[in-house]
Amino acid sequence: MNENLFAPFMTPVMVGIPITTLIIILPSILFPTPNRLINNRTISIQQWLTKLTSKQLMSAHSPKGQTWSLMLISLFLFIASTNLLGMLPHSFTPTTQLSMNVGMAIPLWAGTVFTGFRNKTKMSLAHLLPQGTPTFLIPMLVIIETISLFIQPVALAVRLTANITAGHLLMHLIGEATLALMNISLLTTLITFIILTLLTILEFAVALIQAYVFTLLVSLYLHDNT
Amino acid sequence: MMTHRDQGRDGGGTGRGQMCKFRAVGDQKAEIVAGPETDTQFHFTGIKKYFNSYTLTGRMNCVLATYRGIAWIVLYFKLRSKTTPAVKAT
Repeated sequence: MNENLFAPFMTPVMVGIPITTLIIILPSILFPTPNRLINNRTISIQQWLTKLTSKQLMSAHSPKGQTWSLMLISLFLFIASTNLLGMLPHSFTPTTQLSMNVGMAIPLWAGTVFTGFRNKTKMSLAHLLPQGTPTFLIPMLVIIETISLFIQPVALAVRLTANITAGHLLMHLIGEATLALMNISLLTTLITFIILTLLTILEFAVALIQAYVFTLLVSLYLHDNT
Repeated sequence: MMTHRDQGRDGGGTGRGQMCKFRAVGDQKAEIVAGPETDTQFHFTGIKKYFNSYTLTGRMNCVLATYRGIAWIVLYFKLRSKTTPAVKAT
């Protein structure tokens, strides 16, 4: 009856074979390639949403930054679809794994930083010291800004992991509480069930918001460096 | 702070017909001009020309000097010879 709390976060295995790779690749089959001038309704809606998101994300970028459009939109679609598929009962959500999120965050962040250092070395170095800093505070602020620079990918990864993991855990716990209260008090069960419903709606929103926040932050780092 | 309109005079790299304001930056006078900031706005002399927290060059040099200082401190502690103990164990 009390299912292991760690079960939803363990690597899924089928007949002894880990199928994590298959699960990571799965969302891509939900986005078929448009192969006609006027596509079917599903693809048309996906195209419309993709255009809306890419305009929102990339309009403020320079032409150099806009070369990252495909990368960033793919990232957003991948994280959003993975998070939404994770809302299915008894499914495995790859974005609850810190290893995967760090694997996405560090290369993207490093790419933006190296782009900035390669194309605008002076400006990238100068950004490590805020303008107008008093002289005696300069060494301390340089160290603080350097640390905050290196914290960025860690924060990106941990934010996504923590939000999705916490949401899934909460749903699991409140669901178990609802079941346990059914034999004790129907009124309390009803209240708990309403809370669970509201939480599920919130988790759907969080799934999309976290995907957008991850992509937006990467695009902001890119904007600072291009 | 002193303000004046500078019509058509191209001096000090401020450009054409821009509103100029002066503000005190320590003991130096810095010209604030509307538009994108450039290093030519600030007229530092001496060591402040290369190490300040206002111009891009100054900020870059401060950052590099800080990193070099940290590297020197780390190298010093790594490479310094271990002193012999005052009392030998018997």
